[in-house]
Amino acid sequence: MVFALAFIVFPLIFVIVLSFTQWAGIGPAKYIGIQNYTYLFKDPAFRSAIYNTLLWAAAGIFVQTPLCLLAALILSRRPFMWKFFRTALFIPSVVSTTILALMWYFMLDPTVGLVNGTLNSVGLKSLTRTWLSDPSTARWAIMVPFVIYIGFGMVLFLTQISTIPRELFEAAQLDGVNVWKQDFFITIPAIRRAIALWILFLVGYVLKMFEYPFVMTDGGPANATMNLPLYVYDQMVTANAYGLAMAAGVVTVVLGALLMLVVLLGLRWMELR
Amino acid sequence: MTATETPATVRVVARTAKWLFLGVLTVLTLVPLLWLLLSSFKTTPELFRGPFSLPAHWSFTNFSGALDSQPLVDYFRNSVVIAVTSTAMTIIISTLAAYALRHRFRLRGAVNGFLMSGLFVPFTAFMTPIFYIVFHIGLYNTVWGIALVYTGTTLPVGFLIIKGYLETIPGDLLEAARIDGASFHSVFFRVVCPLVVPGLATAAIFLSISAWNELLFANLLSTSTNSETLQVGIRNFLTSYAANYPEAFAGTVMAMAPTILAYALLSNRVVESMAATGLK
Amino acid sequence: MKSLERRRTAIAVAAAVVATSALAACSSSGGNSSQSSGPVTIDVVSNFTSDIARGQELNDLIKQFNAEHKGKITVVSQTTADWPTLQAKIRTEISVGDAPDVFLYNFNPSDLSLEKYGANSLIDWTSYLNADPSWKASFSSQDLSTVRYSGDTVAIPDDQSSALIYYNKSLFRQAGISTFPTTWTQFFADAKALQAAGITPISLYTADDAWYAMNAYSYLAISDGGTGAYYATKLQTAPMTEAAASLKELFSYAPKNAVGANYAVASASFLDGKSAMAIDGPWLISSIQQDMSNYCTNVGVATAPTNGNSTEQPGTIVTDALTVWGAAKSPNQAEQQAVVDWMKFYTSPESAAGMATTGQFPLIVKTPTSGASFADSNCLMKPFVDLTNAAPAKSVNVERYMTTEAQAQLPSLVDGLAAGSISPANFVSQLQQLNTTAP
Repeated sequence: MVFALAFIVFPLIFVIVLSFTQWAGIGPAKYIGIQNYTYLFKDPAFRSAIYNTLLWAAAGIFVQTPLCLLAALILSRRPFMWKFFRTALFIPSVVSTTILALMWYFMLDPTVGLVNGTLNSVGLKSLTRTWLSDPSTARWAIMVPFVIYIGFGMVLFLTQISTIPRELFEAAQLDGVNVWKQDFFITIPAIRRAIALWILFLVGYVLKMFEYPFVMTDGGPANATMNLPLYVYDQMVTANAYGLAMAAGVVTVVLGALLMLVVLLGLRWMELR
Repeated sequence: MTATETPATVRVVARTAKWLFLGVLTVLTLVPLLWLLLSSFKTTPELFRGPFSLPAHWSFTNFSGALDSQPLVDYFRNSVVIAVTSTAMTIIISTLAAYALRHRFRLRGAVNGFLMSGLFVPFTAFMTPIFYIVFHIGLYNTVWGIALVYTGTTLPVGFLIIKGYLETIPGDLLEAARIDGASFHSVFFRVVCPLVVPGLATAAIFLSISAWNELLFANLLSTSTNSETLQVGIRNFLTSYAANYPEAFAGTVMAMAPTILAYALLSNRVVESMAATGLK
Repeated sequence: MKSLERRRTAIAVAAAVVATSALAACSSSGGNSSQSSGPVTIDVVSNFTSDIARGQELNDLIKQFNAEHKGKITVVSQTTADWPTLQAKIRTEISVGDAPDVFLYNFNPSDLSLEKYGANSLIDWTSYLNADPSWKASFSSQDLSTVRYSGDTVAIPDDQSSALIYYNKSLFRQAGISTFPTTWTQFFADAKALQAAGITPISLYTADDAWYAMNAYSYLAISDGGTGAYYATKLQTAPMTEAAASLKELFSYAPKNAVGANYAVASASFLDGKSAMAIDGPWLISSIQQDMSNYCTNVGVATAPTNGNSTEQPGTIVTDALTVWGAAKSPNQAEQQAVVDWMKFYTSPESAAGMATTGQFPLIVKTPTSGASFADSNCLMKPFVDLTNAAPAKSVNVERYMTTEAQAQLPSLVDGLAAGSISPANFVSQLQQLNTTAP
């Protein structure tokens, strides 16, 4: 509790108070009422940030989690070389996000990147784009590493699956239920807590992760890839507009709470079905 | 439920689909990493010229250069200390808290919700206040300061994971132990802890990796090799104005190798032990 | 639950014990330099990391100084490679009341918050300058008056690096161009020729501070309106709008990944012989030496073209911001004197010559360019310094004097301009708006 107090409550209060002021990171803060908040909602960069953050949350829940789950389900049956797959798919998690973002920056480079290079060599030249410089493609392009790196979630699910008593599966097997049905009716419900946990974790992650847009596109082009944490970072470090950054931070927390509520309600609704 | 037989063709399709799925994901995951390895042998111009071409000379200059320009060994040590310390502290506190919150007491719901909502806190915005705090308790530029901050910020996550595991322990078990005359504390140690070990393992993996990869606060709260972590070290190769990518990659490869090894070795043991307890 | 609370308090106590013991153990490190006996330690905080030329030169100078003042003063260099992070750290430290001993920052007339609020904790150099007239004379009076805030000289100028055009002579020759263009019309015609020859004419980027793009923009604006074309809050002028239109056109001569690219990517494009031009500061020279072959014959340095009319004198250069050293005031007299001694040493003619030649980073103090060290000076630094010295007028890169809010928005604005989603007029008016919301 001491820690929670020190590192969560106090800063939270600090942030809330500061969100009503104008402060350059140095010197006294000037109280300006809700001006910061009105500015936020008028700022197209902020609106893009909210949109993108929500987009990432949706992508996380509806694309990444199912992928993690699928991989976990497949590997839980211990097919040939499952240990290799598990380790290989987990490796990105031990590499810093900054480096992963850099890797993908190079992959997506229009002239020398692997993506365009591969498209060219298989004759799909028409599909090549300036992935990160074109507002319409950038938004989706930077989501790629986020969605593809399923190692973390997969391992979480695998761990959970391994605690399911084998007897359940054996019984189902005897009853002649095929593998997919087993997974659907036994495994998934058994690990639904872990799935819920993972989704909540993703939501939290999406609200804090700024390395991908920061390294790959700096929030551009024209704010197409701006997200909330990057907005806060920019306002604080580059613009020295700490009050505004705090306001954005407050909005982030509120949004997070809302999202958590939505997710929890959604999960409860699914359970009641 | 009648026995359903899956026709042979469906099974074959399903199998190939399975392997395709795994294969594609693995390729997508590994290719960039192989690229990382490849690039760490190149020079910067070679990198930009053709990121996927082979380097002219397979020299280890980037590796020695990385070690020379940054005390990576010190950084590694710092990262390890911080990860271990913060993970241990978070786990201890989370387990205690999760256990405590199983019992009914007045503020239970509030504390629960409060700890969980910490998940969404944007710690980026907390840079300044956290800096103030750490500075004023004198732990600026120390590994303890950073570990402390990590403990605080990852507490919600750890708590959430461990709570999840704790909730799977049937209440009757605890009741039974209590009725048998076990005290509050021994119930905790003898009954709860062993059952929650898989949860602790999962949490430990999560937390140590989060601590390992974290950059923002490590950067803010450190100014010298006393406490700078590996991520800070790697970031130093990649500035706004003079990015030495190949050396950064060399540094990353050197950083990754031990952690991958550690994971590869440990995870087997961990998963096996978890499977064992699961069967009980 | 009493026993629960007991448990909790036990943990809290344990944590406190750990914290205090850590405190005790680590109080010597991470602490500061105020000690009554023993050598005074001075932290010099900058982004001169040891992997770049000026960082290495700084380390050499520090070694020299420490040897000369052995036992009395020890200077330690603390570097943070990333400039914005460095500045955020400095501000946080000043707010907390523990300003760094000596630190580097940009002077920005649109953001005098550091000077205004830090004034009480920063050294006022006026008395020290007056006490040493020869030292004072090594700075131009204009520079000294710039760093004044409510009567105090709050910082010592470090550098105001020029941004000149580096061009790849062999690529130019490939496109049939033998001399560097002196008018913008000729410049754009040459760019077309380069493009026709399959060469990317100029390297630009929009991320971070869009340095390359803003240099081009500043040069374009000056050629339309002279050095008065823009200043901190005066951005919505006709020359600025025309220059924005030209900048947009210039982007069509830049690499495909210019939008969203950063300095490393953009400079690599030039260093790798893909782009024929880059507008950068003196620090590019050491990269050129490392990565380009035969650079003495293949690379040239030039000032930007003009419009050929009398608005701008040919040879006018655009520069980086005035970067200055601030220093924390210390109650400890010995410490404060040590800081002054270090600063004098660093800005001495010998050190300045070293910074200019080995460090590839000319300082703003009057540096003697004759003499042995400059004779060794390489084939690129000499023309660079000569062009700088010969410049009839200077203008600071427009981005450097914008408000920090505008600087944060700049990448997206330039992206929009380059992509055509923001008109030049709109671009300029948005810049103006962002620059008038200064506190």
